[in-house]
Amino acid sequence: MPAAKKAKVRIRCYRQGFGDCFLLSFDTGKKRPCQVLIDCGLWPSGAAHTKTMRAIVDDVAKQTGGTDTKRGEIDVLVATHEHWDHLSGFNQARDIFEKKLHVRNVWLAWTEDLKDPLSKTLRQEQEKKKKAAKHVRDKLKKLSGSPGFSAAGQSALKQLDSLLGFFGATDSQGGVEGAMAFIREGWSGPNRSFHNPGALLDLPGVDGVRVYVLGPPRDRDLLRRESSSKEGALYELFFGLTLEDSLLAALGALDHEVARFRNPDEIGKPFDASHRYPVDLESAKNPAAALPPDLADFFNRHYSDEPWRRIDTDWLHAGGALALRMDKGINNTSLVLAFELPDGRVLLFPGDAQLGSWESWHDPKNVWPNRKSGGEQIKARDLLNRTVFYKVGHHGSHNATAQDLGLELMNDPDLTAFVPISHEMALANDWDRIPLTGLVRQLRQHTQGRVWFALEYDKDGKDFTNPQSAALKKLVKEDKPGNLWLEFAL
Amino acid sequence: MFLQKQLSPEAPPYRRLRGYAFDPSLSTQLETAVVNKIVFRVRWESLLALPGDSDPQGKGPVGEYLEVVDIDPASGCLYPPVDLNEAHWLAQDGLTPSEGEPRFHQQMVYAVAMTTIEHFERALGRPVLWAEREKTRGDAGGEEQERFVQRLRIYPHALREANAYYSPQKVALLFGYFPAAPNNTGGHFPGGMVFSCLSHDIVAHETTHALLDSMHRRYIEPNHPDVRAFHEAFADIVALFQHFSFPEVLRHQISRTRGDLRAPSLLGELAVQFGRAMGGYGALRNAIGQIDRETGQWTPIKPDPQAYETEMKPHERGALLVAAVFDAFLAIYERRTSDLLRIATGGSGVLPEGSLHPDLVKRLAAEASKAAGHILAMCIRALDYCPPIEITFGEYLRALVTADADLVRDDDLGYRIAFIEAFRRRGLYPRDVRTVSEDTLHWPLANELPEDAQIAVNALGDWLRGLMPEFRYCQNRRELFEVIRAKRMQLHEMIRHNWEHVPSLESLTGLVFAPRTKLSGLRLDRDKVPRFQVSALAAIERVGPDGDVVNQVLLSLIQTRDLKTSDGLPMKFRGGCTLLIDLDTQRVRYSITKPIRGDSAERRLARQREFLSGADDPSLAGAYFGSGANAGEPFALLHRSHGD
Repeated sequence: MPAAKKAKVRIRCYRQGFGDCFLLSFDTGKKRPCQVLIDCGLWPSGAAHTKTMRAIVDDVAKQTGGTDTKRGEIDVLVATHEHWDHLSGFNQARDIFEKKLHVRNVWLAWTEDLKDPLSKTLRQEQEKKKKAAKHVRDKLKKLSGSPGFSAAGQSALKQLDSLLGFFGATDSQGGVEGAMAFIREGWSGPNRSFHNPGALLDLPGVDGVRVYVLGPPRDRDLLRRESSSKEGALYELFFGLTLEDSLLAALGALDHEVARFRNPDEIGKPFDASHRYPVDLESAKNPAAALPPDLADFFNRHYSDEPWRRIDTDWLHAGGALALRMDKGINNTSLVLAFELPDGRVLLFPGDAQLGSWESWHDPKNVWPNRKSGGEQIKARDLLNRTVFYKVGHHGSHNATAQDLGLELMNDPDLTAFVPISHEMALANDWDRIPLTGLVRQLRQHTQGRVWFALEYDKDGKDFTNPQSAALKKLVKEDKPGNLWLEFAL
Repeated sequence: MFLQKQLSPEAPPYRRLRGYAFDPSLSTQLETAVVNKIVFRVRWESLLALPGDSDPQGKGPVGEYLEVVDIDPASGCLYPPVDLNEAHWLAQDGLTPSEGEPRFHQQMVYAVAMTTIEHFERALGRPVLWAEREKTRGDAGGEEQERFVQRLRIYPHALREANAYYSPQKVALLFGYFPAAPNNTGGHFPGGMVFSCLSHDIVAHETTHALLDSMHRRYIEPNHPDVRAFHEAFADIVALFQHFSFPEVLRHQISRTRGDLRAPSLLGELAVQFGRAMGGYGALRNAIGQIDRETGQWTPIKPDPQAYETEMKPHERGALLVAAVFDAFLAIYERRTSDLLRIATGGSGVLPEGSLHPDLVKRLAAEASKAAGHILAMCIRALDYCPPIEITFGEYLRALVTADADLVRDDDLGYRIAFIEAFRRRGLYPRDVRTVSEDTLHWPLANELPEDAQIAVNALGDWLRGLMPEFRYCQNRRELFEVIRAKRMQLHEMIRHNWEHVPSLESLTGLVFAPRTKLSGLRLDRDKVPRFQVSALAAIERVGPDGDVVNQVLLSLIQTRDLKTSDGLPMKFRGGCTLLIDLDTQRVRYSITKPIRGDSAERRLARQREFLSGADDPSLAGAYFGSGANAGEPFALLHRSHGD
């Protein structure tokens, strides 16, 4: 441990729970360090959560030199991707951002560039999925009291609710879209730039720190891939436009665009009107009212008389899968940055990138020039090799930390990991595998125990607690008694 | 079986119904159009409401086994049920295949599902009873619910998505329809509707899930990577081998491939239209080869003995088992036809260029059909020789070998060898046998029991012998169900009272019966006697081709311990045992057991914990919804993410 030397960077990890917010202060050799803020969010939402986030943003202002009369200065603001647990603070504490902070540069992924054609297409597809998912959720909610509503329906509804929560759907400031719009347009005068994998950036005012852009990949297939499997591309196709259209049609919420060319009543229906005998499954009294007597008799005998076998809402359960796909797509649009200090050590901030993105970093096209002219080109592998600080992806779920192409390559003896998670919050939503015990075990092995959690958890045989040994405790500064942050000096 | 015997002697043997041999897409291709429309010969049932019926058959179709209810909640409508007894349809083999006519869809699902059921009944030699209705929570106080499910419910247009699944909760099949992906070259027009209920393979696959579930309810519990994979693989195997029961198709494909079933053909493919409509290049799954995504070339699948260790996703893992069974079939087919080829070629066995003689095609087709029929029956019969919980591929191989050897002692055509070889090449064999050969794979015969245990078994045997007439002379499936249910309860009482002080029966079954047994998480009843369940009771009466007679009773016992996973979540650890008792000798012939305690149980428990810790589920759904994913519909998500 290089103890006496002056730290090149201090990493303040905020401890809000299930969400990311990091303030990096790079030594500039002058009095004022270069301040980088990465994300600012907490899932889910509620009054208590708002309070936490406001306290955090206040602290950011103070740390960056803000006083009652002067704004804090953020040199670079990074928003990795459009999810509530990364952006909520920009809504919940918007006034503080506006009044107490000034942002000089904003770095975003190419997927946030409204002018990029591929980004535009992806955005439209996402929009349609989101819309379909919302409609399905509303419909399920409406039907949740009906006789055919089963446990599977409950579970689909719960899935939809929690996943839509990632978009902050209930927020008055437009949810994640509102937050991202504010980041794109708020404050006066910051430089906004959109970044592609393979880019190499400088930190303003800092000598010798290089920032490598690893993701998101410019490849639709990889963007959609959540796991290292072959099936990804094949499956996604039918979930493209048409399935949402047919779902939306059934929910009476079709786009005008699509409906313009066809009779909206017919879209998605499999047979001619002559075959269709309407039943109103939502009617409690007599769903078969409109049927001729023989059909009504058949309907009652073989359908409504046995509620346990009814399928009124089963077709809506596809909504849960839809929302998952949507969520996965967004996670992979995370801007992935590796900060390289002058001495070669690397800090890795992958956002919530999932396996498809991790795989893409190793694309042979992604190479960067060496610091020394004539030296060997730098690959993602080298950066992982030299990683000393790893912000664990996606709160420690297992498909956001690659094995062979990720963790196995991080073999610097000083590696430290931080998991932005509160297992308790995850459990409130039945996410009992975030973080995954197996991954935590592996992280501890790779770091020789240097794994910290935003909020600790120690129950039912699960051990998500921070290191207790004096040697390891020395590595981190804690906010006492506020418990608002942990700080690493590297 | 009793059902047919009740029909009047004038009744026709079967009802002829037209349908697709594969799916509608093949009717739009000139080459396959001629054979794609076939006539299913479905075992006759009246489908009439007879006077005095409390539960009449009729339109739907609603028959003895099935009940087709064509409601489409997404479209908010009912499609009127078909009446297959209408004179028009009786006179011309039912409705003409048509995608735009819902009544044809009803006819198609009925015909395919009935065909599948018939294959099961023929192989098992006993009537199929659907899985019983699950007890629902919250109605403990009320009258006891009827548990018997007379008919499997089929909803041909239940879902608006590329999915179809069996719902164990509703005892129903739900089929979806969806607009085809816009960019592909399959035999359907882009954006056109694709109906999963019109695919023979999908209907047969889902029906098989229901049939398998009716025999082995615990196979839906994912406690080993093989269990779900087995469900999928078994359903695919049945669908595949049914292709060989359509003579026109078989002859056509054999003529096209010149008798070489290893060449790409429709026979080894599953769900062609579905696969293409989802934007893929070919069939959803293929038993012998696949189209390389990069080159577009068809390449045979090479057996990879490592795959079993690494492939954990149910469909992909299941594909290993399907490939092994199909490979065994090919070996048997080749062996059965090598003489024909030699006769046809003047002894060389090398076929000349050009088409085959139609007579040769016919003979080859007959051999293929016969071999396929045998394999299908073997695969189904093996289910009786499987443990009641946590099936693995290796155990299934042992069941296959044992079931067949019991029925056909002389394996002169090498069926069992072919199976063993095909499984071994893919690494699918039990890890606890020293060598992989017929005699080591055959389930060991149960040891001679000590006197006290044999007395208990004799008592049981006497009782079981007395039971046989009751089984045999039931008037209908409902009565049979009720008899079995009542006898299972009696059996439970017998075992509970007579086995508790016989330690050798504990070692025979791997379960525990002694009161106050100390075993963590073991469920005990009020009197501190370990709880157990009699999960199956069936008579196996079969006559083999050489006149060998099997006269056995199968009974399965299951015991449960409530433990915690390594993540601290509740888990059920089960032990189970299938006992096959020979009624002639009153001896326990086999005890196929998964012990609840002891070293092997602890190892199994450790493996199960590792499996349940989720490291094997690479999906995002696994991350968020882990153990709770898709409560109640185990097959829905499975089939959804893979587009089954």
